[in-house]
Amino acid sequence: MKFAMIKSKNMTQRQIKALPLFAVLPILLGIGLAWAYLSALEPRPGLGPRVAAQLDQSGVKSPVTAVLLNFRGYDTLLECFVVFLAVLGVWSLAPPGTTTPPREKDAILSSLVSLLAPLMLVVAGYLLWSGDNGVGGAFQAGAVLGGTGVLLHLADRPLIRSVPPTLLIVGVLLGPAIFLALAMLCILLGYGFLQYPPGWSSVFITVIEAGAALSIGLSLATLFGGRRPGKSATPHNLSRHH
Amino acid sequence: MILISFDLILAASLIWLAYRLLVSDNFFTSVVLFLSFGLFMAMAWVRLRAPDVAMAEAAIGAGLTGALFLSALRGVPGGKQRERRVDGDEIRHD
Amino acid sequence: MDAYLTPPIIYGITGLALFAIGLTGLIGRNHPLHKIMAANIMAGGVFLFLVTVGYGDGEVIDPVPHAMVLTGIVVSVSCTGLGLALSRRIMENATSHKNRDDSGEEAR
Repeated sequence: MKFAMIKSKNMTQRQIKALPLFAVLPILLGIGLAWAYLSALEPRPGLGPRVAAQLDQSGVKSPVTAVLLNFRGYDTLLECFVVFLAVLGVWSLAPPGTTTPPREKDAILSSLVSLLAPLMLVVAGYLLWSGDNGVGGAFQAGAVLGGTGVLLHLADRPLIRSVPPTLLIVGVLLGPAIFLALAMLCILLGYGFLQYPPGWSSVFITVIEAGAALSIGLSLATLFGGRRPGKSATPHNLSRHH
Repeated sequence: MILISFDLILAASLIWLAYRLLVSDNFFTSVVLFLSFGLFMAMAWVRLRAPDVAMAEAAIGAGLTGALFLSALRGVPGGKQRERRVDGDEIRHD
Repeated sequence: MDAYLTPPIIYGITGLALFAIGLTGLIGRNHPLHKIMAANIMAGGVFLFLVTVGYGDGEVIDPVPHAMVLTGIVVSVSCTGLGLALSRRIMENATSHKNRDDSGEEAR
């Protein structure tokens, strides 16, 4: 297979001959794009005033959260499913032997994680709650949850080992499922797909945000872990190397 | 005036970081530069008055993507860096 | 010239330059890790440009590009995760093929 890990010191002859092109092409492309951008500059109001006019009916006070979960909620629904698809892909590519071999215990990492992990959970909860009024929201809370999952995975806590695989799968599915279920509920109530009933917007948004944050956090931690939930197919020896 | 020069320095750093990380041969260097690229981007979001995007970029774009890359370096020859002490003072990376 | 040195224009040009650098790196570097990093840089450049469009002039900020960029960041990290898993398998297959060709027996 000609595909190899070629470092730039071992470039093929064709690549060495093409090097001036690699120096000139991005400059030309950049200049072209910048010229197109600068020649089309004019002050445009954008969608800001329209969002501000409808902000009261959206159920939250922050314009970004209102746009994310109310005005353009369809994009967020699709994005939850994209994250789920990525997790499916990583799980289907997981190497055989689906649980990680135990690593050696690192004292500094263990104590640091045992101090930090509860704090990070509290911070994630605060970010989720504060998304209605200002900066925050489901994605930021999900990111901090994902970071907690990564830290727990690195420190090799027994909590991570003992998570039943069904719980993991349910957690990853929860966000998209809640979102889709609430969207369908709006159809049943007679309003159309993803059109919240008037007056109930904030309740819908809060529930969707909670589910999405939990699901995104678990998915990001799973993307880092890279292993399929379930028992390992081959028994692994207790060595340090994978 | 000060803020404009801050913007110019930040923009130049972003471009220089991107260029260096794509040209570098050492994978560990590329990943570390990518992490700092993400953090500089977070500062750029703050300057563009987008604090939600800044938080999400710092946590997901820099932190989690950097961690993913570092975890993927294990399978690459030359990705795992071990440091050992030679002659008591000098640290050598293999 | 002074009218051109506002934050949105500076970061807009930076975003376009990052896009160009990322595209060149995507084509020019061979290793899949470099390609994935170049794709992330391209995405970052596009996000910078998007938020520049929504800067507004006074107090009113356009929040729609912010929402798009938030969605884009999460999608880009999931694509990076999937791409890294795929590239790990590709590299494993490449080394196993290489070992098999060189020594004539199955790699470990």
